[in-house]
Amino acid sequence: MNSEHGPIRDDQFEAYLDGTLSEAERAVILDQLQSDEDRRLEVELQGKIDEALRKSFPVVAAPEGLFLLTESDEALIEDQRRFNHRRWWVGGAVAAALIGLLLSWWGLDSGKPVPFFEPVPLAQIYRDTLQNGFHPYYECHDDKRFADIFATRQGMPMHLSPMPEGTRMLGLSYPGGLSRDTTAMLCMVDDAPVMVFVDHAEVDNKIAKKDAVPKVNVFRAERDGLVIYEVSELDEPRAMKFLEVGPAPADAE
Amino acid sequence: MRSPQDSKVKFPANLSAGQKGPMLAALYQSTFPQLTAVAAGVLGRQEGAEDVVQLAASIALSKKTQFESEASFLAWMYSAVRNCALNERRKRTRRRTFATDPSNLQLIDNEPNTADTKSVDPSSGELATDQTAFEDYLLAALQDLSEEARCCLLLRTVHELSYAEIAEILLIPQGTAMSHVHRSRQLLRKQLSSKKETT
Repeated sequence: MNSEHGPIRDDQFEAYLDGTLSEAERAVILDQLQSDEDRRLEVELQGKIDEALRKSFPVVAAPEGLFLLTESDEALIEDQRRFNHRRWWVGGAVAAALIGLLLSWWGLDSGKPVPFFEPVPLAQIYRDTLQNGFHPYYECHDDKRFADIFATRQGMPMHLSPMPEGTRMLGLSYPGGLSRDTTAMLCMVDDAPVMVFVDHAEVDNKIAKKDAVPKVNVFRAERDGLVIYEVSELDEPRAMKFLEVGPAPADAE
Repeated sequence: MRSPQDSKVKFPANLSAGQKGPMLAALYQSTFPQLTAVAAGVLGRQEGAEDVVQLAASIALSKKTQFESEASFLAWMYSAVRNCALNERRKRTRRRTFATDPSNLQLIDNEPNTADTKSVDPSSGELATDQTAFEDYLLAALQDLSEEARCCLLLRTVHELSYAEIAEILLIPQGTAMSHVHRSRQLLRKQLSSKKETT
């Protein structure tokens, strides 16, 4: 603790760890840390704690099967409400008829609950993912698992061809977008975050490019019945070209 | 991040439940990560947090005609998630009452911890394969924090929210949120400083 500024106060130190100091204050603390080994160890430990917290409590996207609201739920609730209002004076026969009606209605295909889904502009998902730390839902580094995920969700396996230096895949997320099955690949290209969205071409929706976010570009391609979007702040698509239809070459042999 | 006060949208008075539904579902979807963090903060672990949020959402489904604005829905959801998580935590605490000889507990407690200590996933009963002993110690140390402090810490460290946003979500003053985060970090460092070398 031989710095000309004296020992680091606890409140200053916590503010430094919190990232709430000004540049000037931060520079002073960095200078003081040079001669304060105990505090340096604390900084290191705090980094380890934060990392463990992020790993143990990962940011989770909303589940795919979002059954919060369905058309059928609406009707069911309305029916239930009416039933409750009349139950004091409607006889058992009427109740039985109503139950029968409900049962037959449930039997019809149109009455089946359909998970609610609303397409979301991909630029908006990109922005939200960035705000949430740009963490993939699934850090997939196994070629077979990677291919299987696309086979399950998009009906055909996909693999990554070798990426050049400076480009790396972080993992996969399932953030919605075009449909509940849209699969997103998170990448870093020259330190810029990039998202590639894949889904069936038939669910392609013009909302994908709607509500443009400033400085965010959305690129589109279509391949083998799939629609592929790349979203980033880069001027050209840099990651989608590495995503190819079919199993990884080693698996295909 | 959308906190209750960020959402100024007021629903038209004549909006039916059917029209309101998709709006609420979209809000729910966009705030799901933060809602889950609040649940995890109260529970003290990630497992079960998503179920708690889904439970709160299912209750919201039956109440959606009561929400006059996005803000009222979000405020209600955060409050419901906290309450559902507290109920779940109480249930777990009750389930953990064992008729065990205290001397046996002492014996187990005195056993040296090894670097390859693994925790068990309570939902599947399987070992969490990639969980390190340090993370085990961290999860244990987190139990010494208050539920509110844990929520603040997670929303700040993992979700990188501002103190203003945390304050709005948890209905506490900004200064309290900051104090919770700083004190929690100090406490965790104090408890884990001796564990760092063992892992």
